[in-house]
Amino acid sequence: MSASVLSMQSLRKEFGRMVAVDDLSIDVPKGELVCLLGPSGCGKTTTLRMVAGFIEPTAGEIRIQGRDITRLPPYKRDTGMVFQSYALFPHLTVAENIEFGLKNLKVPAADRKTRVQEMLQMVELGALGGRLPRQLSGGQQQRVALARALAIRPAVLLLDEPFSNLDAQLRVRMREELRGLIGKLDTTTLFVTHDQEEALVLADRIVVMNQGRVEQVGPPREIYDRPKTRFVAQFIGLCNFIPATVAESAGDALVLEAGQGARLRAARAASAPAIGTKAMLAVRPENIRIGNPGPNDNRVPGRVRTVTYLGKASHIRVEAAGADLLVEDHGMRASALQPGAAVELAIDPARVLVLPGA
Amino acid sequence: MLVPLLTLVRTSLYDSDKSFGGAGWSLRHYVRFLGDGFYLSVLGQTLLYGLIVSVFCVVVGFPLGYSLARMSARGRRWRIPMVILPLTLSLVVNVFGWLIILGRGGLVNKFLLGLGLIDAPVQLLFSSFTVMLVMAQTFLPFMVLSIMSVVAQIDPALEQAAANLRAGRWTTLRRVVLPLAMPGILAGSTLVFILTVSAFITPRLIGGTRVQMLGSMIYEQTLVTLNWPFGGAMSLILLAIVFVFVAGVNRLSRTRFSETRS
Repeated sequence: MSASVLSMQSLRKEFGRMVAVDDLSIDVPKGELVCLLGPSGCGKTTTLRMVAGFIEPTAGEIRIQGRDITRLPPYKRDTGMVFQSYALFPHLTVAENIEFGLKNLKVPAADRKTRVQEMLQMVELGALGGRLPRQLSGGQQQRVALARALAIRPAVLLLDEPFSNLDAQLRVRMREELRGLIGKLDTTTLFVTHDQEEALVLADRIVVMNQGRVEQVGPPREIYDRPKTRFVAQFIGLCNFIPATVAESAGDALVLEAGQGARLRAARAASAPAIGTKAMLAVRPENIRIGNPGPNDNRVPGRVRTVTYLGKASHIRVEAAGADLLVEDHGMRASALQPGAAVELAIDPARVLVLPGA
Repeated sequence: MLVPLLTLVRTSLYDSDKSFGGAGWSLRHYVRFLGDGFYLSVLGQTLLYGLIVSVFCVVVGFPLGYSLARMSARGRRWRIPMVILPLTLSLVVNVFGWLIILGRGGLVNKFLLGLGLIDAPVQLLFSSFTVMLVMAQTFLPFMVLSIMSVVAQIDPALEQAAANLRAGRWTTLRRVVLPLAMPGILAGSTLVFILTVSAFITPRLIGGTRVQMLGSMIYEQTLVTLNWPFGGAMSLILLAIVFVFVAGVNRLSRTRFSETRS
């Protein structure tokens, strides 16, 4: 792997007595899109603003292409930022907005014009260069903000919840556009969002943050399939938690005892807890089936509590293994189920995650 | 509002120099004013003072108004009253305060004497510079408040965006903050300009007879010489000029800076 374009080392930020970011270290290689994901107040935006230079870190170091920029003012850093509110200059036209940074970089006038045109074409706003920002729709403004940030060809593109002001359908479309665009330009990108779906779709790597600390770093699939902590499992997607005790180790599987006498097998993780300790089992709703067990599946008896029809799927709440489990069912079986009915749940041991703690 | 104004117009058209009971109508008071180099130079000087005081207030008021607008609510809580306080004082009290400070035995002279910078008290009063300084001090709050209210509407993220786009502080000020704050600067300037050119207490008390401004001259014509028709004519000429000025500024802010208003 080549040297990283953006590198944060032991970054820390305190606001008074509150620690907003605590010992954060991330390296982002060229062309990678890293997403900082977490609930509001987890420090993700503070981290982004430290990279942009709007907030000075209490401790730690930030480097862009090897250069230490930790104490440099924002205008001496090689970043391009898309703000949550877009922050387009209201008194300048779309073209002038895009040209703003090029002027400051002392790009010759002729080159500026061509670059502005290129950018307008790229975000498909070719004809709107003469408009003022307030004459554009939200999605168009968002594209101008992106074009303005990319026009200066920054080493690192910073995106601060860029889709949060758009309606749901537009958000999905802009998300796909952004993915195509960034993939084409091969721009190193740091992206902040609280929307887990956005992170799963866009990111090459997700950094899940909670209360200023990094919970887990990894590709979207790994974050979703192999969450390391209860927080990550809970924050991304839906997840059932079953308190259990480690009973025995059987080959490459771990047997755990849960409530109501249920015994569940789970694929052994790298750091399996010792026998006799308490653990938390995590199972995604889509990994529990009602009936129809495979030969290797865990079979857990339960009782249906509620059935909720959601169109493409049904959500069934089942009392089993001492917990209230949510089951997502895509078949037609759910429609026949009545609250109170006794069912047998089938869970693949490979889909049962053992998390530390009770 | 209209009745006094119309009375003024009527009075200014009297033929005689008497304020009452004159007979006949004429424009001779206007002709007298506009045909006389002395009066015109006083008019010119008044307008010049108005401009200088306005510009001075912009230069001093912008940093103040800007920093107030960007301050936290807590920081503003006791600073805003400090800006407004001078406005609650009667103008006469304010001017007398300055007389005490700037007089021969005043604070400034005592201080300079004490430092040994001067040997004898200096004449600080009765100069046009002092008159303008006092007027600027008196009218500054209007400028500060009008700039502050406009800057408070400017999203701080715009300045961050400018910085992110490699604009240094000066470029950000010139290309983002100033254009967006312009409606407030123009509004404040209009207020200060009008207040300055129509001032009569400050020029009379601080400037004495050496500093001639139209306001104090009108005051003399009406209350000392009792030549109301001539005073009325001067007032209306001043009013017309101010009117043209305000209309011009309004037009400027509408056409050039209209986009910042939404």
